[in-house]
Amino acid sequence: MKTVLPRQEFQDALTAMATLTSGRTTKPILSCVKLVASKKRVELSATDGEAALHLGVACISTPKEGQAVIPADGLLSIVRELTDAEVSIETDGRHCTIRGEGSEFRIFVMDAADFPPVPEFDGEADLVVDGIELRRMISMTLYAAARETSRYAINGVLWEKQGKRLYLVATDGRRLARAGGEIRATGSNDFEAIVPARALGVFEKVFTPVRGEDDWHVDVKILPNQVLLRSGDRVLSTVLVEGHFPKYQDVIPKNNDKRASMRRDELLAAVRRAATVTTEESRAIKLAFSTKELVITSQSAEQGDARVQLPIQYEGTTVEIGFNPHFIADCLRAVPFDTVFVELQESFRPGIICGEDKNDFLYVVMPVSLSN
Amino acid sequence: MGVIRVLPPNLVNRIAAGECVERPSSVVKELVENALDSGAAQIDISILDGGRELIAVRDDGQGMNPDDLLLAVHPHATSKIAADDDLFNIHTMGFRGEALASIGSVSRLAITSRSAEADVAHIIRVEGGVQDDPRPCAAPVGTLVEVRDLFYAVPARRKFLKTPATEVGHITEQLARIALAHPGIGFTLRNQNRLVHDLRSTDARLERIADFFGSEVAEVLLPISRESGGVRVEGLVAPPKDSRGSSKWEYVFVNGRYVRDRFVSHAVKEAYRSLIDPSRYPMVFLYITVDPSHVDVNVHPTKIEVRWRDSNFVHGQVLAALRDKFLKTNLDHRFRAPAENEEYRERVRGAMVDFFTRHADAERPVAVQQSVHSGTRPQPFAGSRASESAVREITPVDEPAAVTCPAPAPAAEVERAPNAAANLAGAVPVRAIQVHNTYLVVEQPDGVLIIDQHALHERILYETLKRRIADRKLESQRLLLPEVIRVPSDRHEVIESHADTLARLGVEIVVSGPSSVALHAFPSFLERLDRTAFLRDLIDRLAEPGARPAADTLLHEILDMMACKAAVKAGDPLTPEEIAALLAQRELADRSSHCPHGRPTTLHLSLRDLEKQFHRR
Repeated sequence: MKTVLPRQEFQDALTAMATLTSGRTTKPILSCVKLVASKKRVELSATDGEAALHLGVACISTPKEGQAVIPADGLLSIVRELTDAEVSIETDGRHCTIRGEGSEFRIFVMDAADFPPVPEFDGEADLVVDGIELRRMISMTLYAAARETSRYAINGVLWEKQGKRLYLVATDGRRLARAGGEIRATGSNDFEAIVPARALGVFEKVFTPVRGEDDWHVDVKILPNQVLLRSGDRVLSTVLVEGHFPKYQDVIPKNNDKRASMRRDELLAAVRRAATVTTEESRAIKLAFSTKELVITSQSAEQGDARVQLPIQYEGTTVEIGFNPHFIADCLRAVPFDTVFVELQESFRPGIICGEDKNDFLYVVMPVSLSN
Repeated sequence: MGVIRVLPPNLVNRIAAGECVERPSSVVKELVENALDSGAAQIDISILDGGRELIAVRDDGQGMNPDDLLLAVHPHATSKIAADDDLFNIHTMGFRGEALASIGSVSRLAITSRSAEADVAHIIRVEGGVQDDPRPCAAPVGTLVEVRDLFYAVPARRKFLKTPATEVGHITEQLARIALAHPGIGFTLRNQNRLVHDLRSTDARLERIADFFGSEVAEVLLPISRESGGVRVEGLVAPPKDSRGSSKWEYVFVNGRYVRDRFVSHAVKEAYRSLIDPSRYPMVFLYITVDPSHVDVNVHPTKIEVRWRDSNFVHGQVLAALRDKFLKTNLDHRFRAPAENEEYRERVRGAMVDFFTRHADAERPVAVQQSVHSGTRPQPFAGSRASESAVREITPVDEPAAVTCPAPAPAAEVERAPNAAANLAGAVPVRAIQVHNTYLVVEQPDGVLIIDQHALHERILYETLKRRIADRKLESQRLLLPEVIRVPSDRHEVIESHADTLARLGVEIVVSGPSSVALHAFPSFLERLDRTAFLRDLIDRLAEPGARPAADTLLHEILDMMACKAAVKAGDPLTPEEIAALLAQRELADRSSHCPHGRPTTLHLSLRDLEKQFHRR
C-alpha cells in the first residue's frame, strides 16, 4: 500500500481515532488504526472492542491500493511532528514508512487480517436527528451517568424513542437527568436502548458540526445489540449495554408543589461559592427557600462556613433541603437556559431542576440528610 | 451382686487429683499457694528432672504441729475456712482442702514442718495414698514439702508428661503468676540444683517484673491506676508499640490471684484495639483489688476463673484505666538506630557489673552503681543487679514519656494543643516532604518524623467520623434508585437488628424481598466507593458467626472499614497543601500515633540518634 495524504486532515482523523485507541488494552491490535487506501480516499477505522469509529479522508494520490494496521499512537505522534502539507504512507508486510519532506520514519505494523471487523452502516437509517439537538441532549445527560458501578445498566445513557420524540436518560442512582428532542424522520417502531457512556463521550469529541453545512444531521441505526451513528462519512458504532434500565418514570416526583425560579448563572455561582468550604468528607450545602430569597449555607469542621444569598421568584412556604453541591452544579453547567426552576416538596424527598418545559429537560436529585 | 460400688477413698483422691494436679507445675502452684497462706516471707522451690523426680517447696511460714500434719493430708481438711460463709469471703489462696491429699495419692509425699512454738520438727510421709505416723526430726521453723516420683502411682498420667524442659517452662510460668502478684515475698527457683530465679522481696511491682522478665520488659511499662466503686485497678502496661506475639503476656491478678477472665481480657483488647496489629497481643500486668465478697473464685478447681458480681463495672474500670493512659501518652514509635546506641552500651555495662558483683561475693558495689542508685531504700544485697538500677531510675517517675524513652533525650510529652495552634496559625511553618508518594518526612525541633500517609490519614478520618457520629453530623446521601442487593433471608434478621447502628452511620437498608435488601441512603463520605461491594462486606461482617458484637464495637469496626477505604493510599502523590493539611490534622487528632488497625503511623528519629549515627557525639 502506498498513499499520499493531506497532513492536517490526516492528523485530525488520527486524533479522532485516538479517542478509542488510547485506552489501556491487553490486545495490542486494539491500539492500532486500520488504513484502507483506494484511488480517491483512505478509510480509517479503530475499535476498543466495544465501540468502533470509521472515518474517511480524501487523499492526494494512491500509487498502490491496499490496507495496513498501524499502531495509532506512534503514527499520530509522527504525523503531528511533521510540518509538511503532505505526508506519504507506504507499507510492506512488516513496516510502515512515513515520509515528509526531508524526514523518513519506519514503524512496525501488525497483520491486517487480525484486525477485528468494524460494523458498517448498511441500508436506511431508523431515525434521523438534528446533529446540534443530539449534541445538546447528550451534554445535558451524560454527566449524570454512573461510572464503573456494578449496576451495568446505568453505566450507559438510555435512548428512548416515543413516537416523534427521542429521550435520553442517565442516572447514577442519586440523581437523574432526562433530555428530550424532536426526531426529524423516522421509519422505526418505538425502542429503548442503553448506549455506553464511553461511546457517547467519543461522539461528543468527534461528531462536531460539519463546516459550511447548515443542515447538519445524524443518522441512527438500531440493531438488536448495537447502535450506529452516522454523519457524512463518520460512523460510530457501539455495542449496547445489556440489562434493564431502572423504571425511571417512577422516581420522577409528581407532587413537588414548591416551585421557585431564578437565574441559572446566579444559582450556579452561589452554589459554587458555598461549596468552597465543603470537603471530601462533608460535602453538603443547605438551601433555604423563603419568599423572594434563597440562602445557601455550608459548613465543615475543618474549613469553616459560608453563607450566600440570592434573589429568587418564590411564593411558597419556607423549605430547607441539603444537597451535594456537585450534583447541582453539574446540571446547571450543562443546561443552556437563562432561567431555571427548582421544584421541591419536603427536605427528604427528591428535588427537581428544569427549564420551561420538562419535556426538554428534567433533573431529579436526591437530598443529603444528616443521620440521627 | 450389684455392679455399682462405692470407690475406696484412695481412688477418689486419685480421681480428684486429675482436677487440680494435672502436671508438675500444678503441684508447684498448690504447694506455693499453701506456703503463701502460711505467712511465709521466703519460698524456695527445687525441681529435679522437670518435677518427675522431685518437687520441693520450702517456706518460713507458721508451720504445723504433728496433729495438723495428719489432717493436712486428709481430703477436705483445711485450716483456711471453717464455715459456709467463709466460702464467699476468701482471703487465702487455697480453701478446698484437696491439694495435699490429691498429691499424696499420686506420688511419694513427705512433709516436714515445725511451728514457731515447737522445739522439734515432725515429718510425715504418704506413698500412693498410704500414710505413716508423723515422726520427729530436725528442721527450721516453717514447712518443707517434697514430692517425689510424681504420678508413679498413675502410670497413664506419667506418660503424658512432656520433656523436662517443657515442664520446667510450665513451672516457671506458674512461678511468674504467683511471684508477680506477691512482690513482697522472696522466691527462689532451682532446677537441677542450679539457681534459675532469685526474686528478692521488694515493695515495687515493677521491680519484681524487671527481676523476673528483665529490664527490657520493665522499662517500657507505663503505670496505670484507677479506683472507683470499690474496684481498684492498678497495673503496668506496655505501650502499643511493644506488643507481643502471644497472649501469655496478659497477666491479670484479682486479689493477688492470677486469673484468666474474659471480661478483663476484653477490656484490655478494647483499650488496645486499633492501636496494635490484630495479630499481636498487648503486654499488661493488671492488679485488680476488690472486696472478696464481690468476686467468686470457687468456679474452677485451679481457681483460674472467677465470677464477678458486676462484670460490666469491672470491664469499664479496666478499660477506662488503660484508655486514660493512652490518651495522655505520646505513643509515637521511636526510630531505633541499628548500630551501637546508648541502650546497648548500658546493657553491656550492666552485664559487666553483674558479672563482677556476682563473683566478688560480699564486696561493696562499685562506685558506678552507687551513683546510679538513688540510695533511698536499703539494698537487700550488697551487689545489686544493673537491671535493677535501670528500673530504679524510672520507678519513681510518673511521666510516661520518660518510660517510653530509655534514651536520655527527653521525649516530648503530649502537649499537643499549643503546638497545633501554632501550626494552624502558620507561626511555625512545617517543613515536610513526600517520598515515594507514600511517606512524609517532617522536620521537628528535636529530630525528624517519618509518617505513613495512609496510616495517618486513616486514623484522622476515623477520629473525624467518630466525632461526627457523636455529634450526629454524618451526612447521608439519599438514593433516587434504591440499590437492590441479593442477600439470603437468613441474614435479614441481622440487618434489621442492627438498623439503628447502621442509621447512625448514614446507611439505610430495608429488607425488600425474600432474598434481597434495598439500600436507600449511603454516607456522603464514601461517595467514591462501590456501594454494593461495601454493603456486601458490611453484611458479611454483621453476620459473622460467634458472639454478636456490641453495637459500639460494631460501629467502630465499620468506621474502621470506612476510614480505610476513604483514606489516601500509599502511592498517591500529595500536593504541599495536602501535606500541610494532613500534618495540621495530625496535631488535632486523638491517638494519631497508630492507624485504626494498630499499625504505627509515625516513626521518630531524634537528632541525637542522627548525631550518633554520624559520630558527631
